[in-house]
Amino acid sequence: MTMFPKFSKKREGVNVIGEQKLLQQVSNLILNSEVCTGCGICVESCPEDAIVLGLVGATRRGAVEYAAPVDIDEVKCSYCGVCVVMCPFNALTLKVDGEERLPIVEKEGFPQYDMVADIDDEKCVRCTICNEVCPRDAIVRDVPEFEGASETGKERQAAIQSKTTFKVDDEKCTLCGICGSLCPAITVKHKEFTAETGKVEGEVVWDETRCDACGVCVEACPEECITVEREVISDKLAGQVDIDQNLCCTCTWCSRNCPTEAITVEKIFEGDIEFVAEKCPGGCSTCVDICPANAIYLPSAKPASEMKGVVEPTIAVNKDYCILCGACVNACPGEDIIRLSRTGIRIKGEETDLFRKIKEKLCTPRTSRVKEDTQGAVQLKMMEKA
Amino acid sequence: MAFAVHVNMERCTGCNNCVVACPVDALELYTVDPVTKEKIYKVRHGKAMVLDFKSELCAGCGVCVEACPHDVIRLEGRGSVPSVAKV
Repeated sequence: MTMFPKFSKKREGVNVIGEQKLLQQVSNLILNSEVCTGCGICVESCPEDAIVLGLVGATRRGAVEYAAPVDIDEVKCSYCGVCVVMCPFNALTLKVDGEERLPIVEKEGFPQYDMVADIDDEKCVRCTICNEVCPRDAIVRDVPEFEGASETGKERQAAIQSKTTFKVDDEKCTLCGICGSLCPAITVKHKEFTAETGKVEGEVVWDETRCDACGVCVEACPEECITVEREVISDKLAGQVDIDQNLCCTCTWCSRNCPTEAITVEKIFEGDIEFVAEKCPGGCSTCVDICPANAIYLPSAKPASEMKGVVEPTIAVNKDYCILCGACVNACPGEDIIRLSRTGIRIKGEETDLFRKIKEKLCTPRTSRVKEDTQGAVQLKMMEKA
Repeated sequence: MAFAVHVNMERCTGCNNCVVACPVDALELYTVDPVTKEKIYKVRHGKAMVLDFKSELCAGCGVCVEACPHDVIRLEGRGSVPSVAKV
């Protein structure tokens, strides 16, 4: 009986950890089952055919919690790291003796995705749009919080750099105290009233850091003796907005919606996706729920007057945002409804024979199928190249 | 065969939600005549009821699991942790 290699697989929280124990080396392939989208690119990339697609739809829509979208056979796996490189969502990590390594890159060389996802700091106005639209939470918006968004946030006047001047015409001012009672930036200090002078005396004290130049004091002053002027030095918010390259899936939601066109995103895959709505039973919405790029939608109902002789589509995709990852094809329970064909992959580094083989597989057009014959795994219908 | 669907018939009420929800019609609900064992569609006190399942059609989309109001459906496939207690 041989002692090594020894294999094991365990679940630790969201991670499914496969282990290969050799006499002098321990390799772990870690799948983050929450980050995994079930796109199946690892399945086609694996040189050992060690990965199969599992309950993609059910796990990604959150119907079941006890499964991961893909299943890695810890015995078949050669712990080479090709899947780690090819996963567009960075859901896989390979560790050799506890250290993150990629044997395939180190020993044979392997190209990597040439991902472009940048924000031009000059053009960025630090607005919140990219952060809100990103379906992968990949935007790191490191901008101070202000009182508009949170009660504990900074005061709004601290957001822009400016020089405010506040002048009171002492001749006219009666020290009536109205401005001070309205605004926390103004205090009207009265001297002690003594019979010696028999008058109201004092001064108006103004705190620039609390003034937002709203001008309410100017308008409320009964003697019209206040002038407030603000000169804006810079209206750009402090901080920075960045894209987390590990989380970004290159869907272009941010770059297409950036009001200042500050974001450049290039998708990883080129190709086409087609939804044949007539074949979709409608209402299952599995693809909508699981799309990692939020590119699939249920078209809103149109008024009957616009539907003369037209059957309303039950499902549709916005190709602008589709990243051609293939998760929808894997999750679709129907057949011939979603047709995906990739034509190119953006990479950097030299193409190896292994990569060319994987590329050919990934570039085979596919659709889902209804009748499947492998127990416990999703199967696809590969189509002829157009 | 694609995925296995386990239904806890003890707790299934025969509401038919999963059958209606399934996008590929992989589920069928009927009751059996206790004598002839023939399929009949009249539920008798909610018992002797059978939920049939064509696993070759199941793509694991999970629609039935979400549709089930009593949480008695469990999907099994590669990569799922074997159930500790029977659902």
